[in-house]
Amino acid sequence: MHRKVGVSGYEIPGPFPYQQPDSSRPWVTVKDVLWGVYLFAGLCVPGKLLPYLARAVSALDPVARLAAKPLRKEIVKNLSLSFAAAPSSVALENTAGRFISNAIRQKMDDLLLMYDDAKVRCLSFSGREHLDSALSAGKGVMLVSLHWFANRASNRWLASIGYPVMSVRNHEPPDRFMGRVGHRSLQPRYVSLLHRVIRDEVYIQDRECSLKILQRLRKGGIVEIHMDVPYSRHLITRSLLGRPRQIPAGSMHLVKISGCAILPKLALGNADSLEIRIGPPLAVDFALPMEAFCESHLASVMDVLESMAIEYPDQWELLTKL
Amino acid sequence: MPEETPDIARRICLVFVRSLDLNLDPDDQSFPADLTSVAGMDSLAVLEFVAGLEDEFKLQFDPDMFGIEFFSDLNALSGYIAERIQQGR
Repeated sequence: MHRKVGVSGYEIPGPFPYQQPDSSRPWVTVKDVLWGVYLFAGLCVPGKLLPYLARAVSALDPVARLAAKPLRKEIVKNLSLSFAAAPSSVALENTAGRFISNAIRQKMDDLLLMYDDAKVRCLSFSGREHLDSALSAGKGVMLVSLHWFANRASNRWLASIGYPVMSVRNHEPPDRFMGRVGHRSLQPRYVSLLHRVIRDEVYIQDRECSLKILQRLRKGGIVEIHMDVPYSRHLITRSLLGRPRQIPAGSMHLVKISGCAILPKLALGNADSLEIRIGPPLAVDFALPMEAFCESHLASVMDVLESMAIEYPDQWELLTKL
Repeated sequence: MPEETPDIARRICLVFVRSLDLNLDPDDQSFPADLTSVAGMDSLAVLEFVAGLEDEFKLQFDPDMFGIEFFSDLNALSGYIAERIQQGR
């Protein structure tokens, strides 16, 4: 199932061929260069030194915030458009700054989490009783979430205490900042790095994706679905933070067929200071026909997740992709 | 009296045609054993097919059987369902 790519040490998971890069893109972009440096660091810096590297990078946080001025501007613009009562410009700038710090920290966490003995420190885990109760029904649990920066760290920690969570991922996520070199050569390696971090995963490109998720649920396991990306053939357009967004309804097909519980999940912080909140199970009416089932339950799922995004916008990785 | 495998195969074809919304006659004798040669099934289509089969035959597939190869093999599916029906599902 895995094949080696060159001598890089990164393995490309799954037999999913990559698309040809768009020829209208530049060969190399700034992001390609940063990616190259990042992946090189992941390969060449010994694991024991990575925490020090992470700290050093964190110390450069103010510089990064300053350097990422265009990104900060975009976040501030997005935030001011998304909130009915727009926060003050200082508050918006602060949120944008925290967003950039969280993004950097996540990338550093990924380097650390590649290793089996990576330590994740969870300061608070609430809602365990909801998870236990839902699991005891034996029909599986679907954790619904957004792309929280701390998702990967949280799932590693949950697995370490006996709650393995299967993640659903895109093998070839679109990236408007990526050049042709990045697409052809670096993105596969980055996906591979994430494979080492996440471990328990299924790709949307896999024709058996839904079957594998259903299998996990039928075996009474846990699956996490990110509701902020259109990873499904069945999409329902709904407003999220004031903007229309295509929400994957395939997840609701899985809920109806498996009879699993739906629990909202919020992950805050980073691998050093994690906070996980699992909400109570959402009410599910299995008697509804499929289309109505999807419409109705997606609405309740998105209401909960939207309120989380409003409360913690700086923790939401896709804030820049509204 | 246990249901004959050919009847089961015909019902599977019916579910297949219905769940994938195909313009085909499920009673067509030349319906191939490899269902993917009739129509490609993406991830969601397979799911709909599985749900349709479980509904039609009032059974739940063993999760260990879940695989695209199994669900596209008419003979394997018919055999499995016939066995489950004999065992009282």
